[in-house]
Amino acid sequence: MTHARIVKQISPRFSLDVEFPLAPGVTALYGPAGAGKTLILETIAGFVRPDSGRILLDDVILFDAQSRVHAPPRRRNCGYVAQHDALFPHMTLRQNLVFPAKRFPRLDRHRRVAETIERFQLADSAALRPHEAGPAERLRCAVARALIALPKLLLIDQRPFDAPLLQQVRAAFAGPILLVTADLDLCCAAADEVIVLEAGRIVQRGAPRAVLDRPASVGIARLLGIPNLFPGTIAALDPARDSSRLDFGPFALTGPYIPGHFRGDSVWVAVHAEDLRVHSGDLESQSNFVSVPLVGVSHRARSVRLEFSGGIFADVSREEFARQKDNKQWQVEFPPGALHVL
Amino acid sequence: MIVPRYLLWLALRVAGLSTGISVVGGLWLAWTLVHREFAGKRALGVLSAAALALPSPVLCYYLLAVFARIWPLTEMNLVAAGVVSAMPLLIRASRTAFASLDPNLGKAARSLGASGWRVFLRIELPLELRPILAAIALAFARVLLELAAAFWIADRRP
Repeated sequence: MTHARIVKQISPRFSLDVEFPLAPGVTALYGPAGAGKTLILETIAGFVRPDSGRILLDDVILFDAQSRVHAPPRRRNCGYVAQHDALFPHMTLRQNLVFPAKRFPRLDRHRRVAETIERFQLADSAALRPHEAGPAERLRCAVARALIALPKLLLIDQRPFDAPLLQQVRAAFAGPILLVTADLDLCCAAADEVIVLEAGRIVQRGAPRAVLDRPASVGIARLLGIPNLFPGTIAALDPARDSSRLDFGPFALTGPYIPGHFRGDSVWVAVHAEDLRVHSGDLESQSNFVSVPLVGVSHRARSVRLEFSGGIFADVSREEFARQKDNKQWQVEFPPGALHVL
Repeated sequence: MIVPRYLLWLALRVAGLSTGISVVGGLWLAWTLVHREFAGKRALGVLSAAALALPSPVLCYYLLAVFARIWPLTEMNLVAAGVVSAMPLLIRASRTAFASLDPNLGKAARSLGASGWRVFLRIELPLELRPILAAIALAFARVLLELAAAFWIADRRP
């Protein structure tokens, strides 16, 4: 069993108090800056001593406040990939890999290093010093170095990982991986579980898609970067047709049935920007179509974000925007399935 | 002025020995001041800086006065005086060097199973070798200079 219960008072205004089990696979820690993500990693790795709690890794006690056990970092078997480059600058990438492999017999050491170099495609840069290698090679080397020491848990602190590299790491390492990231796309693509942190507390955890689709509160929806958050009241509920009518003041929408609520209840509704569809205002208005003026356009890496009056945001593809950019009037379609009642 | 050969040999021997002792003690103290928390850490830091600020002739005169009063004036007294004079310089320079190192390097090394000694010898020392070597050279020169002052003062004592 791998389990962490960590309590640490950092300042009068900030304390960390978290408890979570770690299963094999990728667990992503997501939260704003200063939420305590790196502190959790440093505590598990043994660089910071908690005030109380217990950390178990594969049934081995790494820290226990009651029995005053605090294993030093070198005895914890935790691979740690720091947020900033921590490859030893006076060694080549190969020597960086040899450093943790010193404890193996000579032949075994050479075999492990050679295998790791091949697995992480470092053959061309093995003789280079870190500052001579590219950022992608340095990152691969940092992960490879952490894995060559045969850790039981891999801790990765906010590095620019992409899904293929994370899949590569998963193929090479079967144990739990705790990954600090601000990339929700990466969470969805490669993480098995996401833990949302805010001000040193876990505010939600679960499968990434489930957390994104059903944030537990308005605050978490904001943390997850959902821009469309509307306060409204339930105007009608129809369990037989699995539908509801939600009134938001300037407009009303039809959504799915909301169990556990009554007519007249106040609710918050979250809608992902990419779930909205935009149409020309010349089209005939239909159910869940809202006619709104466009107030702003911002270009993103792979899409264009349209801002409409009333705080409505919609993400459309570049091609879609090129087709519709000359619209004189706009209609935003809210598909009923896209409405998530918080 | 011709310096007697035995005096030059004595000065080199004493400076070498006291610098060697200061390197071991100074590096250990500097590393401890950077990496460990203990009572009196601030006082130790201030004391080492204050010893560095004292003018060499003043330091020599008092060292000579103190050591010569406790033991007869032997070579070991001179070495002890040299250590007191060289150590603050080495502590200061090594402390700055160790503190300027990226702490992530030490963390990474420790998480890879390295002991404190291995981190020091394989990571911290090689990375900060140049400023430490410069501090050793300066400390050696300082001891030589102060020995000259000490011999001069000893020669003119009533």
